[in-house]
Amino acid sequence: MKGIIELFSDYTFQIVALGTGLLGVVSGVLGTFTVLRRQSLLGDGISHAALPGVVIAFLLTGTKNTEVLLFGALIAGLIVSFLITLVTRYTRVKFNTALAVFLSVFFGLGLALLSYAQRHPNANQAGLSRFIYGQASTFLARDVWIVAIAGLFVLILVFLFWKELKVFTFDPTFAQSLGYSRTRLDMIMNLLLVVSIVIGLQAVGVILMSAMFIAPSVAARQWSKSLGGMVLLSAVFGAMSGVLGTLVSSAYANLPTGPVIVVCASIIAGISLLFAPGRGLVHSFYRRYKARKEMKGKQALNA
Amino acid sequence: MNHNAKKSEVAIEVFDLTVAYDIKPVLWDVDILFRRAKSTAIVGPNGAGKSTLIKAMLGMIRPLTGAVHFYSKSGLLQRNQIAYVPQSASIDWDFPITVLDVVLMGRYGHLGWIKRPGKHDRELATDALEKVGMQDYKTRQISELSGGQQQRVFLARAFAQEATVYLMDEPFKGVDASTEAAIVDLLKEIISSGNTIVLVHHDLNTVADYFDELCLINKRIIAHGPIEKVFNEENINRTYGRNSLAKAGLA
Ligand SMILES: Nc1ncnc2c1ncn2[C@@H]1O[C@H](COP(=O)(O)OP(=O)(O)OP(=O)(O)O)[C@@H](O)[C@H]1O
Ligand SMILES: [Mg+2]
Repeated sequence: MKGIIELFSDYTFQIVALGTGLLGVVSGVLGTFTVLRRQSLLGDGISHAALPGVVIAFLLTGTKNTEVLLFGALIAGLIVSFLITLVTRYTRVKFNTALAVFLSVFFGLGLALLSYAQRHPNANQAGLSRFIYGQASTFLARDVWIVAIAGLFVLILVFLFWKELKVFTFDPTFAQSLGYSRTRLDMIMNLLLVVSIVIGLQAVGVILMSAMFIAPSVAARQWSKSLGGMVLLSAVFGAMSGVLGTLVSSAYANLPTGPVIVVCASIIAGISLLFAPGRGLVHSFYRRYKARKEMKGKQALNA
Repeated sequence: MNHNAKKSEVAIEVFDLTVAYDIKPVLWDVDILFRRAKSTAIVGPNGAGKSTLIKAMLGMIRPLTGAVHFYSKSGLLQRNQIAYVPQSASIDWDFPITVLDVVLMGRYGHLGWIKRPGKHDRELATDALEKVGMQDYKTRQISELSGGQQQRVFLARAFAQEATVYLMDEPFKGVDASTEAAIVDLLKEIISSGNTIVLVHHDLNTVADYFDELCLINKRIIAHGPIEKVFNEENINRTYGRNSLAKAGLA
């Protein structure tokens, strides 16, 4: 217990936990929209595609500067989200298929480039491999600023376009009939998604990033009856997972932060799926049990 | 077809519209004019292109050729003037949203980007729910509605739009008889205050009671005009194929 209190007053821990908590909030909010649009895997495609972006940015500039590397990820993510939208819109290729193709092509390219880049004298120092599994312990105050500024940008846009995102997520055809441009809304949505993925890459890594979008929102869906409620709760669950994950991985050195954060998020999702009132598994079993008992009681009375 | 109608009497004009999903067009050369303050039934067999016509009028499908004018203006109408009820809502019924919230979305066209619905919008949405007899379900989750109730919510959303043009694709599908009667009264009210309705309908028994005009369609426009002139056995047979009226038990 004393260890934990010490940890909380540790400056490095505070920085890292602030960063992961913030990105948990952002991915929780955005995840709600992608899960409800049944595009939860889009995040997976984009985050995997970010890897070659990071490596190319490194190869071109030779820098270990996080801003530059994440900018590479941003460009790659935007390109792949654009390609997926284009291919599903204008060809008969299904969303899932397009996603799988782009994901493997870009990720494969990223891995190949990475092993090439490792020969570069600066490569180890730049710590490129931290983008695969994520290592939040490398967070500096500056990295937290990146997360905070980009995250604020995403949250402000979500707030401003709340009504549009809501109707577009719920009923895109109707949104179109109201005169909202589908292309424009798709672009806004993709931009928000890409930005919120990019800020999580350093802490969570490309492989598991999409879980940060899915798990908190799936958990939040179990407890909420409105989109606003679901978004708020998902943000809270995301933040909880970020902070808890950081706590555990700091307490046991060498545990990569990303996987631990994702495990925390999954535990929250698991508990919600089982125990949420109304939609939870346990509650629905209980309802069936009661309904059956009541029915039997009535039959006995009638008999 | 009467192209001599005065401009002020015309709500929607469709010129030379040809639409294809693949290579072969599913709608050929549609020239049609919908009068202001009239209700028109679009009637034709399955696959005739009725939904396609409505979607093309809304600009949701890009036609191969042709144009649609609302109130004599080319290009898309200000969208808060059109209410659209799709044939089947392609939505996720498990979405966390209440009935009232769905109907409120009908007001979004009046709000434009960024602005939120206010008290007035809430009142209109509540009124619309009363009109379709769903006021008791305001706070229900949409996942907890029956099929017909879902359809009524979507109708309420259209009524909340306070549009001047209503494009409705089989709005009575799954709705019980007494609700249908109530909605027909409502439609007549909408017409009498000067608005226009174009409605895809399948029930030949009620066409004459419900609508002012009839448009028979089967890939092309077969006939169009006032019910009393157009609704006859010959036209129906030309639309549905020989003796279809006898088959439908109407002859
Ligand atoms: N998205 C699509 N892609 C390809 N073909 C389509 C598509 N939608 C409709 N079609 C085809 O276009 C034709 C017209 O379809 P439409 O939906 O307009 O018919 P409809 O008159 O509304 O029929 P129904 O009474 O069954 O609703 C049909 O032959 C259909 O197979
Ligand atoms: Mg149809």
